[in-house]
Amino acid sequence: MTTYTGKDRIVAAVKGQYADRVPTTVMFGAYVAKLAGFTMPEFFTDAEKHAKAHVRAYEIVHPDTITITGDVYLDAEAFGAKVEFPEDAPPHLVTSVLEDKANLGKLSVPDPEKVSRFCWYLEACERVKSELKDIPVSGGAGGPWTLAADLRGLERLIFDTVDDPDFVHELMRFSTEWMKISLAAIRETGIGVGIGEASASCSVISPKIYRTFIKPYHEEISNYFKERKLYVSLHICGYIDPIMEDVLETGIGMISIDSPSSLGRLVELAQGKAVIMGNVPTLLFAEGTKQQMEAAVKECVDTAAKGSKYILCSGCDIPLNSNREIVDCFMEAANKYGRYN
Amino acid sequence: MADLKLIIENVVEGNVEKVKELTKNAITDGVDVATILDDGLIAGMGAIGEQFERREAYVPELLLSARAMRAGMELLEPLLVSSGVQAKGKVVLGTVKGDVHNIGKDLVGIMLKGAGFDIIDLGVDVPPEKFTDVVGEGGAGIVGMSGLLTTTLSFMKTTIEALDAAGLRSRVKVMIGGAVVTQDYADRIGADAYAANAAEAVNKAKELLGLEGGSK
Repeated sequence: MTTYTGKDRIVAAVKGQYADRVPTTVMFGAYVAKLAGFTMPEFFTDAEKHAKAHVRAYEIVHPDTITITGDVYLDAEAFGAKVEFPEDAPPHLVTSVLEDKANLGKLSVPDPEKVSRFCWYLEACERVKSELKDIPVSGGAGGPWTLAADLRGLERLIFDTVDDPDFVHELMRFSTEWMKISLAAIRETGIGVGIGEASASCSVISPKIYRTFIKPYHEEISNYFKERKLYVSLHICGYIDPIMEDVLETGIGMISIDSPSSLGRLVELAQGKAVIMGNVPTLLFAEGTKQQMEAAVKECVDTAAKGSKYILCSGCDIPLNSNREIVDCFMEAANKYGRYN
Repeated sequence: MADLKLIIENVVEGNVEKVKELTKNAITDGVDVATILDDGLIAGMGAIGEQFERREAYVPELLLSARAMRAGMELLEPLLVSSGVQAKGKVVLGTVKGDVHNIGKDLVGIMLKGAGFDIIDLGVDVPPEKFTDVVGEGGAGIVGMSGLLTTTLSFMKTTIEALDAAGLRSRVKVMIGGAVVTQDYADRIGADAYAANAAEAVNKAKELLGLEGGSK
């Protein structure tokens, strides 16, 4: 009997082939720190601990691939935004650098290797990569729109799309430049890269904003890495049904969706042109029962696994207070129901 | 009454200047202030709220409409104060600890204020003890919590437990909302109400305090 590694399963899914079961992973977020017994500030500032926590999560849960959690404000921080590190929650943003639009002219795109906290992340990526040989590892922090929103303030940025669209495009070109060079730096550590748009779903923006102000830049990032023979993945939090066609048109090779979005719709629209990840409701990991988790896994598999090109995953980062038994149950259910037939 | 209809249309469109002009005109024409508010500005927010529920409008459109409504309300507020309208009740609002999203909470605040509630906005990243402190000072009828992050949503439950531990739970109704919140979640953590959007939050708030126009 062949023993499949996580890498085998992921490669099979990307090629549209079949391994022994559906490749499965969890967007762990900062929950890995809990698994390893680190405090939030330790986890988010100490590269060695950050890496150890991810390796520990692999040893405990055995996902088929792992994404190294950045923190969502890593990018904004590279431009001088102040970030706080609470004891019991992930970091959060204290200041908007571009409260005054005129400050954009004063900002320049830094060298990622010279930004201290970004170096922390790069070091963590390198360490995880050197430890985990059997599974694909990937990384990345935010996306161009999320960075723009963190620099300007989301509400202000939304008003800008009506009051000053030229400024929004200027800011998006700027944040896209950073995405390209920061993702290239992450790529240099030997891992895959992805962008995560926490603020680009139709739970917070409109399809019109996506089409006008975000889609062209997602396309640009996708093309930039395609020219370098690399697929970029994209995760968007929340509800994206109205923009699924647009997201597919960007040419991004792997799309990860959250539980409010329709997995079946995306699979149908993608027609095998993109690998799809998702979308077991994250709250189940903290508060669900085993029966609920099993049912959710089964539903995702039934909906999306048939044509391969699918990775079973949580819809988004799982809660900090996730229940270890339910996380285990998720993997067990993947083993049980994730067989291709 | 054509003016009020135009106010509604321009609130829906998010046209700040036009709403200001029309509100001024209505005041000059001697239209009752409460009528301008209820049948113009708030009705406009109600209309965009309905489009939102049908997914014909999204949060940006709600924000633009709210900005236009607020511009109109600024003109009405001095007149409302001098006419001595009583507040419908006091609502303590905040986004839960660890979460700094303000948009949904702000929209709810604007809508509730428009509907005649007193608002104490505690801002974002509000720890449970801050909610209990403010409720402990008295006067509040409702605590409204917003949350957009699954990672920190459990602070809604923690806050309800803190209210309980401080012996304050019976004094207030708890209402929750946010992109990741569901009715099911509200039931599980023992919240009194869940609102899917800002317009619904107003109906639910009225319902919780047994006021006319509640959603039942």
